[in-house]
Amino acid sequence: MANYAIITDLNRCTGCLACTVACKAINGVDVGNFWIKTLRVGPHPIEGGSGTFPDVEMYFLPVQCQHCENPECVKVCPTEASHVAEDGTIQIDKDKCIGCQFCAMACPYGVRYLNQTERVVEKCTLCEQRTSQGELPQCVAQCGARARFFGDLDQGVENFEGPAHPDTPGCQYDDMTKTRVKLKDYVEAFTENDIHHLTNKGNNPKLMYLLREGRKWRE
Amino acid sequence: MEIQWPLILFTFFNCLAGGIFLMQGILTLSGKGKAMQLASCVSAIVALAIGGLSVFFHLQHPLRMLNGFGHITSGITIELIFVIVFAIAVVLYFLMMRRSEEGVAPKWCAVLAIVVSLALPFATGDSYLMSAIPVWDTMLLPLYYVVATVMLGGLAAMIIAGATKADDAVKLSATVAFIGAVVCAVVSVIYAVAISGMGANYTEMQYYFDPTLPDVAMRQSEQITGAILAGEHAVAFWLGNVAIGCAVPAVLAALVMTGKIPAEKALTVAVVALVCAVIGTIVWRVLLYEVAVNALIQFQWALQ
Repeated sequence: MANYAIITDLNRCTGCLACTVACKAINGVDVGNFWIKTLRVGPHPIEGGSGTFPDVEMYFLPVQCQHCENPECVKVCPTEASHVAEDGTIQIDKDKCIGCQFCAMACPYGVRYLNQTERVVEKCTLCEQRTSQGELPQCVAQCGARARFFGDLDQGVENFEGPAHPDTPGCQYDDMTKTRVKLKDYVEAFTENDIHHLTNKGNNPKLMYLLREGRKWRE
Repeated sequence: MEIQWPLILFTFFNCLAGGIFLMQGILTLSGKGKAMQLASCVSAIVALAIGGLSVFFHLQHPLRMLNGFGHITSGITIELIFVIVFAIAVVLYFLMMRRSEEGVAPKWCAVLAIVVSLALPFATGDSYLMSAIPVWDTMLLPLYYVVATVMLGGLAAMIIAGATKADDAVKLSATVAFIGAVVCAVVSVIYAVAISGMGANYTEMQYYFDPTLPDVAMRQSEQITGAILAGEHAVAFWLGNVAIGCAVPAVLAALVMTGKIPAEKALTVAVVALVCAVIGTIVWRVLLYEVAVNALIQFQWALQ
């Protein structure tokens, strides 16, 4: 049993879209569809500033399935195709999906869509195929700014892991992918108040965003 | 959200089926409409079947339903249960009517008809209540479906009464149709006003940009909440839903109800009134899809 989630350090995210692209590549997401998108939020005038550049602030926001604790998509699914898996993630059993799309309607973040080829709803799986083998989700592994960290909420968010440089250049693939760094050891210091979630409509989203004091969280 | 026509037709035919059976229940309870019982039962089942057929055009894998609806508390499952209960109640009414020596279903069947006919549209509307879509997440939605059911039922019963020469049922049907149309107008206007005040339910970012949709303009909540009462959908709402969909049927039903149009001429009037009511209720259902945007309006990229 686990309770997997991702935290993204928005003070580090550069909006390179590597997560968006890497996800599409590893999961075979069709042209026009996305399991993760990166929005630019802002630039907004800084409170008390002149209202124009350079008194503005902005950040990038990667949005995907939030793998909620109390998922609306699971509540509305008539066939239990959408379900909470043992690792705490929300998964879709495509063989059970009747394509009613009520889960896509009920998701507050609009991250579900109908796969026109398979005629079932799909969305981010948190790279279940990778995490079940001890690997990181591809959006975490390929993050260009090392802003994303993956882990088990039950072990504490400070222990979430991201990819790190191997000590020995030229090491093998396995060694490279197993080289990790913990959130607490890598990113700038943060407090509980710096951890944000997307707007909660009673679904208790689990994915987290780090945005430290000085920049205003807009969701 | 993209307009989901199969679901619009499904909810409409559910309301129509419920309305027809509701009206038959009211008539039977009032000791009227004996001649139109069979026609009402058949019409209600046909409407229910067309609604069911419509939904098959929405579901991508309808045959997987045969695997069973494992999640009993989901809105769709509850809706399906009410559809089945409704169909059973219609068949039961028919059987009891045929068994009866007087050729009229017993009063308890009439009460059952009224209960299941009001429950069906309520359950249909209830399945759409979801916090992600603020304009749907209000009890006004199932309430609207119920009052639309009353209006459609009254008007449909006027037609069935006219076609089966059940003249004793015309005035009561017209009365129910009149009340239904007036209440329908009131509820839909209240609903539209409520939508206009839902701005606080949306999370807003003043400025944002989605690099995968570079040519799509930013959306703000006023575009949604202000669209029906006085915005881009105002003409459709006031003309289509309120004037054509409710006022015209109300006036025509009132003319029949007050005897200014004789019962034997009510059939033609009822057909016109029902066509208007259908236009109005479809327009309102379409508008509810037009303004159905996620609470986090920047994030929506499904179903649009």
